[in-house]
Amino acid sequence: MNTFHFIDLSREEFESMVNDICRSILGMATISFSEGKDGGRDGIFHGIAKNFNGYEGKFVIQAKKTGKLNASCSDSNFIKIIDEEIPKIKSLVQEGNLDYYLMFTNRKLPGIGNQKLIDNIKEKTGVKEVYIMGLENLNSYMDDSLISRYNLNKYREPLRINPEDLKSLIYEFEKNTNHIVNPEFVNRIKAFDIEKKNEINNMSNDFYKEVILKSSNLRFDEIDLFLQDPINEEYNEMYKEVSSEFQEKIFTKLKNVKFFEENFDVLYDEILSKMPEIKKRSLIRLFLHYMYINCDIGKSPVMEEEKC
Amino acid sequence: MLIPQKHMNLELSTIRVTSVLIELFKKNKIVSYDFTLKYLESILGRKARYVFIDSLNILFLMGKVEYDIKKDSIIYIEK
Repeated sequence: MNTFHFIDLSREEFESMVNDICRSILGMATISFSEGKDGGRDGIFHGIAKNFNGYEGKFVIQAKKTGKLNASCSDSNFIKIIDEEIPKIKSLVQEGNLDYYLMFTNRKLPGIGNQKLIDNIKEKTGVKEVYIMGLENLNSYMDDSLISRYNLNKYREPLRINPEDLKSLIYEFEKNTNHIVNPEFVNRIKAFDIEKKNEINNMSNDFYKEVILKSSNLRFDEIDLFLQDPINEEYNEMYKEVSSEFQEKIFTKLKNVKFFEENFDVLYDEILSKMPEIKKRSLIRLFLHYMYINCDIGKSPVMEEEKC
Repeated sequence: MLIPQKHMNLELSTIRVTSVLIELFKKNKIVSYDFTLKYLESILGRKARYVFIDSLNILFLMGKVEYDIKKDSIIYIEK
């Protein structure tokens, strides 16, 4: 199933998107509330819900976006969020302003946990009906108009990468590296025209200077030594496999990114979503930057008759 | 094993290691296994031991060396 990266939307964008979804499932009379104290409401709808079981009454819409990958509605922090909403819901019910409560979130929604949450809200507030819409529901509500309005198009196709090799590579590298920088290697980037590479790949100057040069560059020599060690031949092969897979994805699935560094973000998120157990997360970025600097990913200036 | 790769240290490639072994065998027709390995490490460093067997295999397959099991030595075959 396609999964959109709602995680990249701002909170305001996410709330706006949820209200847009409600305009299509409840009706055009859905009213959005602006930022600020919302009293437990990001939007409301009064009337007959045209595409939502034909319910009639007062709907309250609430959006709760998380920035955490792989978050679930059964996570303790979401249960806490719900607990904090309960007094607000109760108060709206008592005032006669709420019959149906709709909570949208970009968290995964497990069936059993969902029912427990709903029962808990109903029991403590007396609200008529409660719906919690998780990631799966949000994905199914996405149509072309929403995808284009919230610029979710580039994430429509799943990357389907297999970071197993990268994980082994990172673990082995971390185990064997000594963190000693060999001064002979520090200026290796000058070996080819990196500015040309940045230009043809649309890598922003700020990212290159502030992130790659200032931090990652200091450890590139360690990766060199690690990969060049004959005992690590197996890992050298893994590196080749991983970098060629990423390269292919960059040219096939990530064509629409504005700046090249966005590729790093998308790949990083995808790797972490598949392997959340990777502890040394900074090494994922380090290896991605190393691949770029070594022309294993991205367009290579070789095409422009430059050696890389 | 024989194909050069982008991320490899050419000094520790099988071709380079094999060339060092040939130099040794040309000067000494019979060399003990232990001495051969120590000699190699003295020239190319300890990491060369991981390529040592591969290089001996190449020389054996090319008919350039034989192994004397009784003396635990490498015999260079000059043709």
